[in-house]
Amino acid sequence: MKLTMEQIFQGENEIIIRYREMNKTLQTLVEIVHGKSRKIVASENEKMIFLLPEEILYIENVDGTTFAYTFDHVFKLSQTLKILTEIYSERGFFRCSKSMILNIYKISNLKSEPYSRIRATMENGEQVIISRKYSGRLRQILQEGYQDE
Amino acid sequence: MNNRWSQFLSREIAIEYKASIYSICVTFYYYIYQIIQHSLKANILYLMEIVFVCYLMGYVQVYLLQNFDEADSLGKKEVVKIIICSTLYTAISQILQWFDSCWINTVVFWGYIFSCYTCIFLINKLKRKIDTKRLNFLLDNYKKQGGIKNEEINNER
Repeated sequence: MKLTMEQIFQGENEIIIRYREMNKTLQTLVEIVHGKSRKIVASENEKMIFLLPEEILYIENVDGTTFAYTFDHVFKLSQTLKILTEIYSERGFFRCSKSMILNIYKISNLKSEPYSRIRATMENGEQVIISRKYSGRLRQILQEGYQDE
Repeated sequence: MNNRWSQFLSREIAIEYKASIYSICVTFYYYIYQIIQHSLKANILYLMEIVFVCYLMGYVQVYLLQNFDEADSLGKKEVVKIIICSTLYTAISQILQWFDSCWINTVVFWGYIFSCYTCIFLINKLKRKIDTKRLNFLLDNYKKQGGIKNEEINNER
């Protein structure tokens, strides 16, 4: 796919997509431009990829760079943890520490620990300790979910 | 809040909690002991000493003995730590003369403190077990309900 970018000094930002046939990649691009995208733009080895939030187990910030972890891959993300939590909280994204977001739907089980901490075991077997500071919020989210029902 | 500060606060709260529980246990024993001695009076100085000693022991438990009464399982290490703390309590009770220093009193008090530690360990474990069960129940419900919500969001789009 050919990419042409042109800097303009007047008028509104504009994206023109010229296509022979609409495909998945273009459709996702259109959704992103319209702000309707459910997918998260990620990159792996300089290659752009669109990830579904449902595929992500957790997101971690390491030395200022955000990484998304799926079952078998690690992808680099351009968004910050704060933005990702705001956008995808309704998709089960929960800030479990200063540098990590968990996908609640990918937690296989929870265990109550001393000092009101919670140990979350993810579907890939990884374990994450949620401190007292964040465990209260998790309890609230789960409780509200239960009450909604 | 600073992470170190919140960790410090968290430990202090744990010590506060322990001090309350163990001082109730020791004070209760002291009351029973006084009643057995045909006395309905309690020495305020002893009661204050009990509270201070329980605070001190709370620090020992959290900072030196890895908070053993909230451990996951009761292994050899935990039993040794219970023995250490029970012995410390008994020694302090003898030094501060809370009870008569005959050997029967010493042994009974040591056994009482040992059983208190064991019971509190089991209560903490049970409390976490019930909490774990509830957390997983809520998690399952959240997942079930979330699945319906996600479908609704997808349909809207």
